[in-house]
Amino acid sequence: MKWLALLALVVACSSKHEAPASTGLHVGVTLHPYYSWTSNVIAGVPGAEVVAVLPGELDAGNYQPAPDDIAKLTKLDAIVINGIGHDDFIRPMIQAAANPHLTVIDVNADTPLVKTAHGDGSNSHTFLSFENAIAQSRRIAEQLATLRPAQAAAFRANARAYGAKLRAIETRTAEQLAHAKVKRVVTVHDGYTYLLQEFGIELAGVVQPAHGLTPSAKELADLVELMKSQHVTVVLTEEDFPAKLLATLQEATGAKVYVISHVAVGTYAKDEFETVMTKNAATLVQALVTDP
Amino acid sequence: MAHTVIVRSPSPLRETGLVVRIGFHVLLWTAIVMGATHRTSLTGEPATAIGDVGFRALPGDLQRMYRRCLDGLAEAEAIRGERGTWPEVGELHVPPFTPDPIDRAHYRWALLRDGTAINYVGVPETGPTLVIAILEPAPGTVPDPTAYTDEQHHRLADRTMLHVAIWEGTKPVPTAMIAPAIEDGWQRITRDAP
Repeated sequence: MKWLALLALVVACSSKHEAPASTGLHVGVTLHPYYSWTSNVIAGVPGAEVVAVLPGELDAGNYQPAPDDIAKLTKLDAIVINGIGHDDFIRPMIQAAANPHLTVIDVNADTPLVKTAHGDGSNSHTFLSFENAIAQSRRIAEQLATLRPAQAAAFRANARAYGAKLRAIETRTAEQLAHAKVKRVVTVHDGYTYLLQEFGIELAGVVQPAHGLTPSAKELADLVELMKSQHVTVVLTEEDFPAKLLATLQEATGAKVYVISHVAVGTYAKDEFETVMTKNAATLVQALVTDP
Repeated sequence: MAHTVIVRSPSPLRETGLVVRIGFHVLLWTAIVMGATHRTSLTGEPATAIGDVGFRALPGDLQRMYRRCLDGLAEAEAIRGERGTWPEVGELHVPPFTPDPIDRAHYRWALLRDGTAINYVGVPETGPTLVIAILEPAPGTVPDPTAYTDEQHHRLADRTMLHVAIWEGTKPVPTAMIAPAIEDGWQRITRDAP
C-alpha cells in the first residue's frame, strides 16, 4: 500500500480538497454501464452531473489508479461502484481521497449473485444484464433520493422510465429468442451468465478458467471435447479476446463465434448502455435464431 | 412395610456400553440438527437457516423467476408508495406479471389480500408455486425513520416499512398468508452473501 500513501500525498499537494458544491450533485462512476444508468437517473435535475473516474478508453480490468483520478473523488458527493470484484481499485482510492462527504453507492448490495463458472465466488458481471440494469438504476435513484430528498421524485420517475425503456428491448429480444434453435452456448468467460439466464439460454462451458486467464492445452482440449459431445455450435466472445484461441476453437469444433460487448470501453454516454445492449440482443438473435 | 433396595454400580463393561450409547446419540442428533441448519457440506452453497433456500441453490429457471419477482415487487412497492393501495396484477406492466415468452412453466399470477397481509401468488403448470409475501404495518403505526432496511425490510416512498419475502413451495395458497408454513415444505428464497 506504499503506492497509495504516495498517491494520497500527491493528491493532497495538487488539490485543494474543496468541499462538494452544496447546490450541485456530483456522482462518480467506475464502469461504463454505471455512467449510462446514473445519467438517466439524474436527467433533467439541475446541477446534477455524472463524473467518470476512469479514462473511457481503458477497461477497468487493466486500470492502475492515477493521482488525477483520485483528485476527482475529492469533489464528488457520491460514487457508484460494482464492489464485488470489477473495481477493486476503487476502495483504496476512496480511502486515499479522504472525502468525508462521499456516499458510496454499492449497486450490487441488493442483487442476487450467481456463482462464477469455476469455483464458488460471486459473478461480478452483473452489469451485463437488462434486469440488473433496471434494478440497479432503481437502487442508484433511491440512494440519490436520500442524498437529495428534494429531487427524490425526479430520480425515481427517471429510474422507472429508464427501466421501461430497457424492458422494452428485453421483451422484444425475448419474443425472438423464445424460438431459438440453439439453447446452449459456450462463452469465453463467465461474464454472460446473467444475460443468458434472462433469455433461458444455458451455458455449456466457459473457455477461460478465470477471468483474464488463458486456458491450458488440457483445459482447451476438454472444452473442445465437451462442445463436440454436446453439439455446441455457438461461442460468445468479447471484443478483445485473443483471436488465435478462438481460431483454434473454431477449427476444432466448427462452431461460430459472435461478439457480445461488455460495455467496458469507449466514449461515456447516457445512451451507451441501451445502444450496445440493443446490438448485443440483435447478435444473440442472429446467433441463436437466424443463423442456425 | 420397609424394604431394602440394593444399588450396585454397573459392571465396567456395561458402564462403557452406556457411555458409548450416550456418545452415539449426542453425535447423531448434533449431526441431524447441523445438517438441517447448514447445507454447506451437502451442496457447497452458503449456509441457510431452516426453511430458507439460497438463490444460488436454485435451478437456473427458478433463479430467473426469482430475479423477475424482485423486479415486480419493486414496481408494486413504487405504486403502493405513491397511491396507498396495492396494484392488481393487471396494473403491473413489469415481470413476472407480463407475458413471458421464455417462461416454460407458464406462471399465472393473482393478488390475495387478508388484512395487512398481501400476497402475489404465481402458480405454474409445472414446478413450484411462488409467493411474494408482503406484510404491512398495523393501521396507525407511526413509521420509524431510523428503521433499518434490508432484504426483508423495505421502506416505501411514503416511509411505510414493510416486511417482504419470496417463497417457493407446492401447496395451494387459498388465502393471503403472512408467511407460508415451513412444515408444509415452503422455503423462503434468500440472496446469498457475496
